[in-house]
This record gives sequence, structure tokens and C-alpha cells, in this order.
Amino acid sequence: MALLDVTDLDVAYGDIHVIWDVDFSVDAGETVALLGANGAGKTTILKTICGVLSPLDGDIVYGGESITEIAPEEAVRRGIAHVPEGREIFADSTVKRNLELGAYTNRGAMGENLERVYEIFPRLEERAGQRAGTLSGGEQQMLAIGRGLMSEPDLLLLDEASLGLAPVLVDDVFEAIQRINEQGTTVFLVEQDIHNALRVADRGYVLKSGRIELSGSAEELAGDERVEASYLGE
Amino acid sequence: MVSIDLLAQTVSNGVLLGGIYALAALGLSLIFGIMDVVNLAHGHLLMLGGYVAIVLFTMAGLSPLVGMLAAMLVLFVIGIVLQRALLERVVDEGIEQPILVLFGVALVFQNLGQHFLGSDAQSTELTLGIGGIDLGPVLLSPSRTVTFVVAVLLVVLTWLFLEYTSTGHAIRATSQNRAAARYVGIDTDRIYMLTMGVGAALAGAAGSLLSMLFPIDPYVGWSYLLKSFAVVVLGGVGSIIGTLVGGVILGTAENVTALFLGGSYRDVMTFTIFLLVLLLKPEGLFGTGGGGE
Repeated sequence: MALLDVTDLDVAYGDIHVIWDVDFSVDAGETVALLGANGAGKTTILKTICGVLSPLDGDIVYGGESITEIAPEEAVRRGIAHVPEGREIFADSTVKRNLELGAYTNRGAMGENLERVYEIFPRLEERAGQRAGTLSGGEQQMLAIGRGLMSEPDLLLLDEASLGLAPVLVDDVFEAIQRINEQGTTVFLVEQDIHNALRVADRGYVLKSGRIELSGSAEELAGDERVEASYLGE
Repeated sequence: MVSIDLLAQTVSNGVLLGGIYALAALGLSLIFGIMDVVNLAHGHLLMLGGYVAIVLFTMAGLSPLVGMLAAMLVLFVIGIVLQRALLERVVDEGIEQPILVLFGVALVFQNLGQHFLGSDAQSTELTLGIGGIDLGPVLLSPSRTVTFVVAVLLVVLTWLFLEYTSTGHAIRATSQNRAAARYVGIDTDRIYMLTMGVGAALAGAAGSLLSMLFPIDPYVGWSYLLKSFAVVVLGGVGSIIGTLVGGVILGTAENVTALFLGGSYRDVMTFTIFLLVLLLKPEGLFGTGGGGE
């Protein structure tokens, strides 16, 4: 059974309908990529899964239970961590405090989770006492992902984790995503970087103007020229 | 010619009064720092807190210190109700709408006070079995000393709460980045309610303490709002130590002004400080000059 099952999803911002009849699923243990051009609606879908937005219509089932109208804090409690686009860290707090806040709903295993995050991102341990706002862009992205892991999620939602990073850091981030998945966390990632996303993902979906245009295994999509075409308009 | 002894006494009274000003300003600073809401009803919440102590004192003979605890409880609830019933609808709609709503709330409180409690000024009296503290030229009166100590204690407790509890951490996280706070699982609506509750409770405590020193009437809200503003601007938003220092500076400056120019010039001094700080050092003495976002 799928860990996350989304059916007939429709989402609107006020009168503006942006997501139309979207269906997809993510199995436990998988890494699944949601690809698409800027403005296709990828971030909207993530925000709807984690409860920041409410759908107009459709069902979101997670671990066998409907979470269609869930509040964001409840989503975190149930094991869904969302690493938002643009890093959204607590800039005036230390790196360590940022990570501790990631464990807000799950303080029990704070020590273990902190160790695990430091093991994946040793840089964060070196910078533990530093104000998060003084970190480089790449380090802030690592912090955002690390903070998401602190709640010990079963499902990690990653929104444009590599956006705006130098190529060498992009490799680091994708390598970290692979490790996180190997350690048992299911990953659903939204990306504009088709190449890297399909390198780490098992399967992918291509979103165009709010509808799923294509889907398939990572290999299939990597060899399908329609994927790149969907980024360039018609 | 004013004698040195009188000046010293005036300054020490001002410092002690400044502790209460700091307490009043802390609530305003919290609500602004965390919710970006300018609480125009803050002085009127303070007035209500004063009246809770006054009513309990005159009707039941309760010590105003007990009255203060009751006032904090009542105002905490009023703050939460304000947030749930009114502010929640406008809090993310820019800075103007909450100002209008809270201006209306202030007028309602003022008129309710006038209707039910009358326009006459009333006060409480702190009866303690101790005398003042004699420091040579300066005599620290028992009521001024006790109100100062209680006010500073409440400021310190608020700081400890924000610094060392997980709820305090969640409040500070919300003030830095509300979106990120929601992503880590903080119920930011609850944090806003708590913030309004705590902010109002601190105003209520300040009102009760002030009722032991000065008469309270339903119209004092605007004046104490202005003083609280001046302290926040002087100390810098978000700085607790700045709020304490700002309170003490304002209390002292007011008392010295009253000594040389007469009591009616107190608010002139408050305004002058307010404008000078905005002109010369708009981020305040201890301000960071900007929030987390």
C-alpha cells in the first residue's frame, strides 16, 4: 500500500484554479520526484500535502488515513516533514536552536536525531553555535533539511532543495538526499533540476500547468524528450 | 532653588516608577515583536488591570498584590478573547487593520469603565508591616520599593520563560519566521493567542501596581499607552534589557521634569523623549534595527 496517495486533487488560490485532477502516489521507502517548470504548481502541491493549503477537492491519504484537511502541526506529528523552498530558517537563532526547533513535536529522541543530522551534515556540527543567518546559502539549505529530519519523519517533502546553489553544493545536497532515503525515510522532492532529480529518484511525475503530464520510472523519464519539452512550453 | 536631597529623592522615585513602566512596555513590545501588531488598547488593558485591583481592594479588602494576580488572570483571558474574536481576522492583513480594531477596543473599554466604574479616580493602598528604606538623603517608600521589585521580578520571569522553556522558544521562532514555525509543527495560532494573553496580563499587572501609587480613572489609558510606546522606542523592540533601561530613563526624566517644571509637563517630557529617539536613534538604545525577516 502506498504511504501517500493523492487522488483527484484540485487546489485554488481564491478564484484562481491552479491544480487540476492531480493523481499520484508514493510508496514507503521510495524517492519520488515531481518535476515541472516554474509556475507549474509543484510548490502548491507540497503545501497542500502538509496542510498549509486546503484543497478545493480531492483526497490525500497518508498511511491509510485521510489527511486532506489536516493542520500543518498535525502533519508534522504524523511524520510528514516539509523543507520549504527558500530555506525559511530562523535567522536570529543559532544553528543548534534551529535544529532543536525542528524537534518541537518530537523532543523525546532529540539527542539521537541531532547526532544523525550531524552525521549527514558534519558542517552543521561545526557551526552549531553560529547564528543561522550568517551561514552560506548551501549551509542554510543543509540546515533546513536537517531541521526537517529532526522530527524523525517517515515522509520528507523537499521543495527545490538545490535551487540557487553552486554546482558542487548541488552534488552534496543530492548525495545527502540519497543517504537520507537509504536510512529509511521516504522522500518526495520537487525539482526544476531534472537531471539530478532523476538521478536520485526511483520514479517521477511531470507537472505542467497544474496537471500531471507524464509519469514513469526515473530511467524512462530521463530518456523521454517530452520531459524537457514540458519545461519549454508546447 | 531645588536642594540636592530633593533631587536625589526625585530621581530615586523616578527609577522605582521606571520599573513599572518597563513592565507595561514589555507587553506592548512582545505583542509588536511577535505579531507585528501595534496594540493601541495596551494602555486601556493596563487601566482595566488597575480597576481589577481597585474593585477587589474596595469591595473585598484584598491586598492589591493579590489583586494584581487576579488582574493578570483576568487580563490574560481578555487578551485571548481579543485575539480569538477580533484580531485573528485581521492580524495578517497589514499593520493598519489591527490598529483600527484596537483603537475601537480602547474606546469601548474607556466607555465601559466610565459607565460601570464612574469617572472619579480611585486607587488602592498597599499596607505592609515594614517601613521605608532609609538611604541617608533618600527614603525609599515601602509601596514604591515593593511595586518596583514586583515589576522587575515579572520582567525577569517573562525573560526566563522566553529564554528557557520550549514554549518560549516556539514564541521566539514564530516571531522570527511564522511560515517556518508552522513547518516545524508549531501551532502559530495558539502562539498568537498566548502572546496576546501574556501581553495583556503584563499590562494588567502594571495597572495594578500603578494603582498603589497613583489614582486610576477610565481615561488614563492613552497616557500609559504613550509612556509604554516611549519606553519601547527608547529601549528598542525585542530587547528586554532595553525595556528595563528605557523604563528607568523615562520614569526618572518624568519625575525630574515634574520637579522643575510642574507635574503637568510629565507627558511633554514623554513626547519629547519619544520624538528625540525617533529622530536620533530610531532603532532604540538596545534595538537590533530589524526583525528576523
